[in-house]
Amino acid sequence: MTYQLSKKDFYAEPLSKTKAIDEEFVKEAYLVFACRHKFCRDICPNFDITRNEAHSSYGFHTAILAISRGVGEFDRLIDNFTYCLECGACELRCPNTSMGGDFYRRSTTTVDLVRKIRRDSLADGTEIPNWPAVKEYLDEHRGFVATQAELVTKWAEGIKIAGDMKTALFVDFFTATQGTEVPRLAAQILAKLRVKFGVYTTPGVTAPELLSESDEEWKKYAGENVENFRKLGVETLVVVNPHDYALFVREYPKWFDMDGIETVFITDFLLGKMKEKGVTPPVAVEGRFAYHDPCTLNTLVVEAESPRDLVGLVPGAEIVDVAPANQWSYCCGNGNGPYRKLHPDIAYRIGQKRLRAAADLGVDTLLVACPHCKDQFTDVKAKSGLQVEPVHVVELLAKSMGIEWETTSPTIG
Amino acid sequence: MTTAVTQYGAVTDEVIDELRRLLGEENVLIDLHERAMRAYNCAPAPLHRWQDQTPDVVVLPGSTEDVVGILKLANEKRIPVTPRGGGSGLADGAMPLRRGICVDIKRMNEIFEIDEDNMCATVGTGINMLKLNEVLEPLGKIFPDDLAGYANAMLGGRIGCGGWTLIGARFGHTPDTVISMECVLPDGQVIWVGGGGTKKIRKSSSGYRLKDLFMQHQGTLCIVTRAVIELYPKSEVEFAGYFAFDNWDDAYQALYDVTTRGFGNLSSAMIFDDHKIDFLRRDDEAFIPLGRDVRFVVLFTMYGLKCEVEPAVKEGFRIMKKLGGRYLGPEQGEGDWASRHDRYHLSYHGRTPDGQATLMSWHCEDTAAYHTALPALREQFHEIVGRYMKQYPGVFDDWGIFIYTSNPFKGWGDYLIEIDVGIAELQYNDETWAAWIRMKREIAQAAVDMECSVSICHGSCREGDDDIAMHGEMAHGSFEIMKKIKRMIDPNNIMNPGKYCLDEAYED
Repeated sequence: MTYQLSKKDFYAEPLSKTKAIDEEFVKEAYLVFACRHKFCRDICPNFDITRNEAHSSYGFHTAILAISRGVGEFDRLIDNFTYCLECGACELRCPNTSMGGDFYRRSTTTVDLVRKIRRDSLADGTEIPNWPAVKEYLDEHRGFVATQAELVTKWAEGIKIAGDMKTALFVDFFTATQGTEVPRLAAQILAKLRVKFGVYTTPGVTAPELLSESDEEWKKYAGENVENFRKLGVETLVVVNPHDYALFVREYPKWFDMDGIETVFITDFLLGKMKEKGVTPPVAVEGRFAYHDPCTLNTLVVEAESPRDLVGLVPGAEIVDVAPANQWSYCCGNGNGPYRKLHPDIAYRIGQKRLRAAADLGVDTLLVACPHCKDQFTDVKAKSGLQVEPVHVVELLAKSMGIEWETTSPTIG
Repeated sequence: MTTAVTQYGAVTDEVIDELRRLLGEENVLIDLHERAMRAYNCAPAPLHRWQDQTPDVVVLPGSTEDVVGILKLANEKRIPVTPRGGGSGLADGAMPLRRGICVDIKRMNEIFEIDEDNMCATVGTGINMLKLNEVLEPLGKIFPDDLAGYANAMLGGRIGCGGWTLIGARFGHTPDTVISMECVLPDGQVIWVGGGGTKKIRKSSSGYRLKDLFMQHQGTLCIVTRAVIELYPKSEVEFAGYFAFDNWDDAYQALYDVTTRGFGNLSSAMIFDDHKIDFLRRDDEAFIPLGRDVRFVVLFTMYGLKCEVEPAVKEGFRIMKKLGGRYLGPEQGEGDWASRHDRYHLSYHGRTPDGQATLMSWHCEDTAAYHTALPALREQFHEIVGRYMKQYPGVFDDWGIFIYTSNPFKGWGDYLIEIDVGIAELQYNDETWAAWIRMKREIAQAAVDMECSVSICHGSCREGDDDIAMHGEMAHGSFEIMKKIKRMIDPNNIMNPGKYCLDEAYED
């Protein structure tokens, strides 16, 4: 898929207490302010809990415009810019995106704006409450880089992988260490389907959290990845973590030439191969399942079909579905960045609301397609006592393919 | 704008501390960016005067009791209070002209009861229509308050401005779909007002009909904290038909014929005039392309049961075709009607006559007019805006006229005639802002001169509207009564002061 949200060069110029805001940036802020109908606000899962409209795309852009008019303080701006899940629902709902769009380079880019303000604030010496927890997470990943080849393939122990890098499985550190069942089961399914693939072993620090701290460092790792893909002859990159997938689809094309490298999300790839090989999963898994659209797929890159279609292949499995558009305002609470570490209490309430919505559908399983969603829902389930189990779609498919259903995520590293 | 005659108290540290004690620290916002973003609503704003209407503190009450505490404190200290709902109003009802305390009601969004037996629900006024209907639709019910700001407006604001809905010809408007309301008066007294004295009875002959007194008060009398609202069965069919006409006379007649035919399920009827069609043509992304022979468009919508709507639509087609109307097809009907909430709020929807994108915002003047006033008003509105366009090229633009049905539960009689004005808001300075106000005044005056109303839905409490409305339209004794009521209920003039020229109530 080729998809590129408007790249705004004025985001590159750091804001600070002492600098005037670039006129193009002012216009950008005005575009959202001038809409003023705030469709971005009521769709925001964070706003749904805090009810503070300063925590919305409208609020963020208006704050920038106000500063440009001398009615604001840059060093206090960050207080509200931590309240963003980076889920992209506001961007999608913004009339500037839906009616103007990338053709006019007028898509609203709230996620980019939020990351920029966080970066600039940190660079300006502003302290962000709970940021040490984010830094610790990133430092842990930075530490992994030295041993990355060993670590990112540890989940695959005992599985025969062909090593053909034309089709490469991209497994990031989070999935390789905390969401291991997904690549492990996916690899086993692909082996059963006799699909040749290799595992990319040097992902670097790919976490979107890094974009809120240092875009230059993120670009360094991303640039190395692209260089390595070329060297290895990667033609198809199969991505297991939708956070990475959203970055490949939205961010990489802004900075790097990705021509000739097709990025495919794991559920799309599995579905395609199942169809290509004419394979129907042999084992019935009877049950009614709700499905949670991860924001990284549903709103950030607007892809919602393949996880549902995969479940549709499983004999006995019934989806009690909520349409993707009706899930724009849902989030597991983890967000697509540091949100859960910055606001753990609100993150929990967002997750609790989502899990309760699944329980209200009368199901005991909520399917997910994202390891972060699964991690967050597992936590929310334990704390809330809600009897809804988060299960990855790949786990369900694996079970239906007769592969041992491993629901736990053994932590590696 | 009228000047304040009341001496107000300051929002001191002591006041902030007391608010924090009442509401909790997290619900009292004092940072400048929190306050600055609540200076404006949805209407063209004097950005060069931003500081002037930035509130001193923002509070987020979560209950009626919280509001009681805030108002008692404000009344005791004589601090101005401005309620804020969705902030999507086009008349600046929520703009704090005297700064003070902004009472942001969004946390009061609870659904207290859905009473399916009696087809009503009790809700907090911080609830939004889209979110409410997401809960109601699985029950086969809707709250039919369908406005341009459907996805973001809040019930409290709808009550505050006496809202109008696109489908009011079938379902009524906000004053009709709100059955009763809980109001907190400036002294902290909590009252329920309805058709009579009860919460769920729609029609009563007991006493004064006080619900209407507290409707469209723009926050000048109280803060409405809860309401009992009407529920309707969700329509089986929602039909929207667009018809092209090549001249005004036939389009105008078609509007008359379809609205007076006596349909029970006519939900709305509209005219897009030739300026509007020309404007929409400038932007090939945002409007389904129309042939050059299309000069006016008439739209009607029918909501209801399939067995009612299908034969009614056939009759509607007959009326349109008889006058030369050409059906524009289902794509136009479904696509345009479905996107009606989104399209007109896009700054880059602004287009110069040669189709180039231009950074303009938009404002509509929402005059209420009876049927026979429409042709003359249409001409006058275009003439007024055209004159200002010539004087300030690139600052103002005529984006055409819509005419909508506005009589509740029936299509005939009175209409909303709105001229949409493109404005280069970022370029505003004292001179262009003054020109904008003069233009608004001329539009409002044209309406009043024809015994029409300055506003049908936004409220006539903005600079440029308020004095024409209060001293012109309301001059026949109504404004005098308003002032007496205001002074009686709000003796310290703390409730949204500066609106509706009501400072004049305190001049003696």
